[in-house]
Formats: sequence, structure tokens, C-alpha cells
Amino acid sequence: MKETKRQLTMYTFMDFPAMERHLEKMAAKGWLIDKADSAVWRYRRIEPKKVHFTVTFFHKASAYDPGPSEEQRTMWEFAERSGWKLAAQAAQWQFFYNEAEDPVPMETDAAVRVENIHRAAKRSVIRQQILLMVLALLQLILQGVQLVDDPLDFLTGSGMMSVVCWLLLIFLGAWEIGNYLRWHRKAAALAESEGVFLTPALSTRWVSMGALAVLFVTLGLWLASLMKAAMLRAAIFGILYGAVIIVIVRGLMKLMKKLGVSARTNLIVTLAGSFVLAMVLIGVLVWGVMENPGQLIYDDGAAGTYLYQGEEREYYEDALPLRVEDLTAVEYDEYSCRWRGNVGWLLEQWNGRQWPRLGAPGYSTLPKLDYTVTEVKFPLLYSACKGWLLAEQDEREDDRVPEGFKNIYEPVDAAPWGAKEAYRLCRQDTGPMDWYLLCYPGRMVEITFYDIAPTTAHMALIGQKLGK
Amino acid sequence: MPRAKFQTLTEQMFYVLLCLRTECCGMDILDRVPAMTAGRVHVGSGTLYNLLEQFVEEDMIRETRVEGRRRSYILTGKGREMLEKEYQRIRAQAEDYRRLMGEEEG
Repeated sequence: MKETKRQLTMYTFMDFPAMERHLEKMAAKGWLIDKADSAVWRYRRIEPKKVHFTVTFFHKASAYDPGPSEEQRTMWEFAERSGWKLAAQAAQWQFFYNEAEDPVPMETDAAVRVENIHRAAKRSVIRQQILLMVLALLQLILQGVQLVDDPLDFLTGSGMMSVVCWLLLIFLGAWEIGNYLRWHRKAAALAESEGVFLTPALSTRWVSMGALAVLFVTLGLWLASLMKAAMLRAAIFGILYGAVIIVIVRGLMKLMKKLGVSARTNLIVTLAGSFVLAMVLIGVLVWGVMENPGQLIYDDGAAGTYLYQGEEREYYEDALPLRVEDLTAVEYDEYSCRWRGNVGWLLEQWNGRQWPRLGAPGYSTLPKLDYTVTEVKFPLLYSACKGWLLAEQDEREDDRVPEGFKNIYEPVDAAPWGAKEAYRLCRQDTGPMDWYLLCYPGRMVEITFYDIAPTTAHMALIGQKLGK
Repeated sequence: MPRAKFQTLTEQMFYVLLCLRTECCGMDILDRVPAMTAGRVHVGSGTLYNLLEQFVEEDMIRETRVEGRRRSYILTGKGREMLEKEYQRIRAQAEDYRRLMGEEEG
């Protein structure tokens, strides 16, 4: 028979009445809480009995304390004198139970109780949530800068997902602080005027649970989109690494507590440790994406490798929606065909590239093909997206390129392509290039031909293969 | 908030201060208040701990002795003044009651 039991518990700061009720129910079932220093609470088996629980705060305590202070122990002695035994304690939280049928409550003065809760809130939940909200706001500003800087990259990447996550964090923080301050204003007034303690409403935790559920769904959708873009391994690696950081930092914090390191030093070392490990994580991820040793970070789906000037090169054999062979007859059959995409919630971008292997006989004259299909999932973005794609190549507004040498997208007849609009990139000094932007309903295709002169028949075929 | 709150004292605050007219420690207060009110008033242990802390902060009591975790306190001049003020307020209430009820009955 199991002597201990663990339970995932999700309560907010204001949920202490719900906690008391839950702990009383658990004791009636024969489980008494004995550890609550994480979201997973531990219970030990007892004889099922009816006990009263009180959850109170010791506002001077923190999660980094090496142990309870003398002051806190004094408070526990006071409690024990009135029959309240300490079941568990974590940071400011104290869980007392009393086996008497009708014990003297631990808190008998509403005004004093409200003041104590307020002192605890100022040192914990308000401080933490404000810090989190500031961090989330900084992240949103960074995301905003990225959106302005490169909207296509942002919208086809995980930018939207992180915006939703950071917004949710801000919402959760604002909700928790607002909920607390609203309660405190009313509770302080009621305690002052009538001496009555205003018990916080019970239902509030469902708001945070709901927001967390949305957060998980968001993460799920993000993982699904990464799976489509073959980057799932990188995401799982990042998440696992994040989990390892949490385990290491928590372990370090606990070790320092055991060694009796002061709360202040513990906090500084823990924060510094988190920062260093996070930086290492970013470094490892950047290195991993660049080097991708043993395809640890992502599976780039290479079909094999070949040697070119003593260096190992990868080649691909992906199925492409349009191949060089669809447009022209070629004798070469060792093309590398790569089809990769970035899947965002509002935009999706897939790049197809058919290229001869480096060093192939007649490399420079062999026909090559490179195209990017941008699918607009959110119709209102269509015209903006067209503007971004045009601006990526069009240099008429770019002062760094001298007039007379700029690349300019000129409108051309869209009918042969079966498109709504078509543009051809032209260099002011050398004339038109085989580089086109084609606008179809719901998607745009940017295509570049190398050593292929597209005919009207090619254009129609491209419209059929890539425009639908 | 404590400053505004201590303009008037709650029953719990009143009896804790009353206990501290002579030096005593927290544990003693837990027993003395029910004893001096014939069991009518009990001070919760959490309330007592926080009250002592707030009274010290407001200079209404001061620590006199520390023996291990046992800390003793006594009223300061300010605390005595507050207690006296509260007593006068309660007396005035009682006087009003007696006068008005007496008038009606008489």
C-alpha cells in the first residue's frame, strides 16, 4: 500500500480558501499534505479524519530561505499552543491543521489578517507578476521590431505563437494582480468598517486554468506546424533543454538551501545561474542549427552526401511540384531537389529548388529552378503580403543602390500564367531577368529560371502546377 | 494601513494591549486574554503574531527580553495612550447606552 501520494495542484495566490477545503477533503480520505514546494504537492497516508485546515502567510519568508527563521518558528509555536500543527510550509505559505472539533481560528481579527495577506502579496505575487509582465512586454516589443523588420519571416515562423503566449502571460499577470487588488480594496474596507473578513471568491482559479489550457493548445499548434516544416526535433530539443535548465536551477537552489546559504546569496546565484544557462542554451541552439551534428537539432531530410573538393555536401531527393524536366529536356539525372517550408498561422511559405550537384559536368549551363510559394491563410493579409514580396527584390526605394543599376519589378501580362497579376524583375542597366512574381487567388509564386527561357506553354503549366 | 487602523482598536487589539500593561510574552497572551474575558474573547495565534509585529512597528509596544524564541513585550507611552483613548471611546459608548436606555425605561 502506498504511503505517499503526489498531486498536481494549480492554485493562484488568492485561492487559499479553496486550498483549505481541498486539504480537509484529502485528510478525510486519509491523506495529509506534507510537502508543497512545487506545483506537485505530496501527501502522506494517515487515518482518515476530520481536521480543520488554515492556509496562512509568513510574509518575511521566501523560497530561498535556508530554513525557517527564528521568527517563523515562534509563530509556529504560537500556533501549536492553540492546537494548530504545521503540515507543510513553502516560501510564504504555511499549511496548518487542527484536530479539535471547534478550534480557535488562527486568524481572529479581519483587519490584521488582511494586512498580513497584503504584506505577503506585495513581496510575492505582485512583485513576481510585475516582473513577468515586464519581461513579456519586452518580448512583445522585440517581436514587434521583428514584424516591422521582416514581416514575412515573422508571419511564416513561430512569431505569432510567441506573441499569443506573451500576451497570455500579460493577461494572466494583470488578471491576478487586478483580482487581488480588487479583493484587497473591498476586504480592507469591510474589515475596517464591520470587522468581517471577506473570503476571496472561489471560482477565480478557473480563469488561470483556462488561460493555461489556451497556452498548451497554442504550444500544441506550434509543434504541429513545426512537424509540417520538419523542425519538430529542434522544438523538442529546445523544450527538453529548457526543462533541464529548470531542473538544474531548482537543484542548485535546493542545494544552497541545504548548505545554509543566505536567501539573498541564493537568489543572486540562482538568477545568475538561470541567465548563464539560458545564454548557453541559445548558444547551443544557434550552433546546433548551424552545424546540426548527426541531425540532432533538425532533420533536414537529405537523401545522401557527395564529395566536392574534399568537402562533404548533401543532396536531396524531395518530390517537387514543378521540376526542370517539366519545362525542358535535360540529360542530367543527378539533380538535388529540395522542398522546405515555414508554416505560420497566417502565412505559409514553401521553397522548391532543383540544382545540379556541385562539380557536375556543365554545371553552369545546366537548367536550374528556384521558386517560393507563399500561401496566404488570412485573406486580409493578401495585399500586404504582395507588397512585402515585391519590396524584397524591388530596389527603387533603396538609396544604397545607385540609380540606373536597380532591380525593379515591372508589371507584365498575367494571362499566360493564368494569374491575376504578374511582375517581372528588371535591372535598370541590363534589362529583364527570368525572375517573376505571380499572384494567384490565395497564394503568390516567386519563380526564378536559370538557363531556361520560359515559353507561353511553360507559363500555363506553371500556373497549373503552382498557382492552384 | 496600520496607522489608520490603529485610530480605533478592535476587540483583539484592545485585549492584547491590555495584557501588555505588564511585561509578558506572546504565549502568555494566548492564555491571558480568554482568562481575563471569561472565555469570551480568544486571540488566534496567527493574529497575535502579526499584531505584535505591527504594534512594535507602530511603537505601541516594545520588546523587553529575548530568551531563545521567547520574546517579552510591554506597552510604550504611545500604546498606553492608544489604549486609554480606546477605553474612553468604549466608556462614552456605554454612557450613551446607559443614558438613552435609562431614559426610555425611566
